[in-house]
Amino acid sequence: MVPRIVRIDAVCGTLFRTLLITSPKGEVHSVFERAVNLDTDIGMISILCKGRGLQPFSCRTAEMISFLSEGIHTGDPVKADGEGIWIGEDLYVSLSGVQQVDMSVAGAFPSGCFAEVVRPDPEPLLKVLREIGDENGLSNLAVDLPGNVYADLINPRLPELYRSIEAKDPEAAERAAERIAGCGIGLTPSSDDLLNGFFSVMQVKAQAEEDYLLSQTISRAAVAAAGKTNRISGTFLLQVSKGQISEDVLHLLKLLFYGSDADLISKAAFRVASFGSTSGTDTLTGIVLAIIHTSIWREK
Amino acid sequence: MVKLEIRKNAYYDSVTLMLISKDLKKLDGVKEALVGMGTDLNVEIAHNIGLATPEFDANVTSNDFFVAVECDSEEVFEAAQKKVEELLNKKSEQKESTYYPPTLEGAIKVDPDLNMAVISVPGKFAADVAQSCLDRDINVMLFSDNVTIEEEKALKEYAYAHELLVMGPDCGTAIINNIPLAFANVVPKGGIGMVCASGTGTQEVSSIIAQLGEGVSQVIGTGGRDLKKDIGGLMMKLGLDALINDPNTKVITLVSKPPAAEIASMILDIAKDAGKPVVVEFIGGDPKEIEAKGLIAAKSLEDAAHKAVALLRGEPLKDYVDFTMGNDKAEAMAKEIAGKMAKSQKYVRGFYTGGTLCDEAMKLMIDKLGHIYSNIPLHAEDKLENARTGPSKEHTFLDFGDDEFTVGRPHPMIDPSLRAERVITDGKDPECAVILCDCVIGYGSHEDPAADLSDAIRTAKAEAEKEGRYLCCVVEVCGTEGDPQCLSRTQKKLEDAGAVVLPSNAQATRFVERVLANLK
Repeated sequence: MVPRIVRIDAVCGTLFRTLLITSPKGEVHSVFERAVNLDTDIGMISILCKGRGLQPFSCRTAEMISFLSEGIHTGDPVKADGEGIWIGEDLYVSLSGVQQVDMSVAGAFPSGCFAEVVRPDPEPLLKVLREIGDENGLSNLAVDLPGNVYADLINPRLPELYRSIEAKDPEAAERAAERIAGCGIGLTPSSDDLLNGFFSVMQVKAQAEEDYLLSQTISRAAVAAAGKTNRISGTFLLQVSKGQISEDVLHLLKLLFYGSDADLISKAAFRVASFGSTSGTDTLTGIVLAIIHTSIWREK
Repeated sequence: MVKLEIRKNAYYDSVTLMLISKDLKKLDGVKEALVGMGTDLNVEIAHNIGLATPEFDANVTSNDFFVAVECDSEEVFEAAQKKVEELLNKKSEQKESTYYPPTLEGAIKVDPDLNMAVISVPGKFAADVAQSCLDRDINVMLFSDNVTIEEEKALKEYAYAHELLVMGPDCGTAIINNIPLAFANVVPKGGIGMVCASGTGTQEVSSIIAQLGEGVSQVIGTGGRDLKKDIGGLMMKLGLDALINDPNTKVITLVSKPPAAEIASMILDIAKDAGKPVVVEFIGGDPKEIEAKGLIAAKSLEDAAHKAVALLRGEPLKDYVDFTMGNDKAEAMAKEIAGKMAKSQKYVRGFYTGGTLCDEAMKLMIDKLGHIYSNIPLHAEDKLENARTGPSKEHTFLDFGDDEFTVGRPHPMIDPSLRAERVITDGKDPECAVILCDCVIGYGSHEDPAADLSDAIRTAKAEAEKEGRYLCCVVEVCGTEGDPQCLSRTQKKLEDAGAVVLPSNAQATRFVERVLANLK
């Protein structure tokens, strides 16, 4: 029987290189309308539908697809290699001719690219949050929106995160991150998205200034946070611990730190903020908090 | 009582969880509800708000989905569980939810089958949002303006290659599958399909079609720049092609300002092979090329509607240049009005909320008037400087929807107060003989645009009378009986204020010409 073939047009570079040298096996972890997660020997792999921003360890289909309509079920066997991914025996996800996308902070910000990173202007990001921030998430930690039980719990815990990161104290940062992760309604709880944004900014600073201690502190805090949330959300935190961040966030950070104009930054921020229900705005909130509330920046 | 449902190793996307959370709290008998993944912090919050039970602490893990509800009874909890099940499983019921997703992803989740998006975000974001929609095979109506022509070109080239519509940017009017989008009127379903590069021009034609008792199959907007050379008429081509292939469209009508010559030629070449009649109104353009290709050229927006209806009904074609009330009656009325005017009264002042209607009126009258001063002049030398704050000059026509008038204000179709003030101001000018206005009703427009305008007309006429002048106010109402404001109610309100109310912009300009021609 000829399998249904789904073509992929872009893949996370790290995932692709890993698939070239391994042949992981696993099973379908979870299925959504526009995404499917595969639990494999090499970690959680996501297949995202066309139109989605690429995430670390994910690939994206060339055409629109409803995964729910494809008859994919949790527990279906999965096997993969550099040519493609089999889901069960009827669906083949082809990686032929795929474009590799480098999603690493190291690729975007080569070591020592800034002697000292200057604090970027958060205003374009705040403007976007004011426009589309969602009161059910954590945007209210950055802009004036009604509070909620999640923000009330997280807000007093943030200063310890800022302090421990500034002090480059890995143990304290782990504890602080653990006390924040896993809070909120979503599949990726709001506080996880916030931490993702926060750690992404910090990874840029650590990488660009070759600050190994800061990098280690962030990585340990992110890994600790991943242990306090669900598998899917934790996967994103594990990726940021390795300096791998989503395509849209990476693009925004490049514009922000290399000093692009406010219009381009606003557009990129808007795209980040538009993801999911509150995930995008919560990620943006984390980026803003990292810029505003930590004092490790060189001022302009 | 606090009740709990746990689904082990169950993952649902964030939008669904948000829907559940919002809807559960609205159920009768539910005092509080918490929904989420069973992480430590969510468990902590459950404790903080009194929704934790011993079972909760013992059984829930980070990878479990939970619903905790404080409710009056078992029955209420059962209803809550049923609601959760419905929201998780029935997409059709999600469509009816009152949850308004703040993002595109959320909207797709609520209705995965959606294929049309109306985008009204600040211009600098608009192209990105539109591209996101196109990436998901969603057609776009781009209401936003301030999109660069480069962005428009890129969007339209992508859309054209994928057979998707990008109506816009700055597209204010469309009717798709009988659903009016943005500024549009309630027009019955019928056999006339329209592709239009003008907002109020589209409303004028479709409304007159409805007034004549017919309807539209589709009204596709293209945005005002589509027929410029830079864009190449991509959406006009795609829209035309769609109507050619649409079995419900029996007659096609194209409406636009005169396009670039090569673009016009290309569009007309496609139209001549349509296999169904095509009426073309390139407002103020030369009809020769249209007629040379065997197509039907219209003299005005009103004429386009009349000809499309005649073709649909198989009636003989003629240029519609008459008055609905009868030419003799119109002439007599104009003569009587002109006879009441003072010697100083010579000029017409056209104050429009619709840009295309203003442009059409000037084009229809320019031959008779010679010069018309305007913020959107037909000739550069007739540009009226400081149009918003400065005085009118001789024959003056103003488009109140132009940028100069809308800085820091809503569009005049939403807030017509600035135009009403101008009616009163110019009514005091001893040289002003006629004030000509449009009154555009329908979805998107002010809920009662005739209210301000009729008050202003009453005031202006009374002021003029005190000074021994007779001020003539002529108004065209663009809209239909089915519009929320109602055509006949709007017309009546303006007539009661002393306005001469006519059923089309073209008739209104013809009437003004008659009045001016009869002046002493």
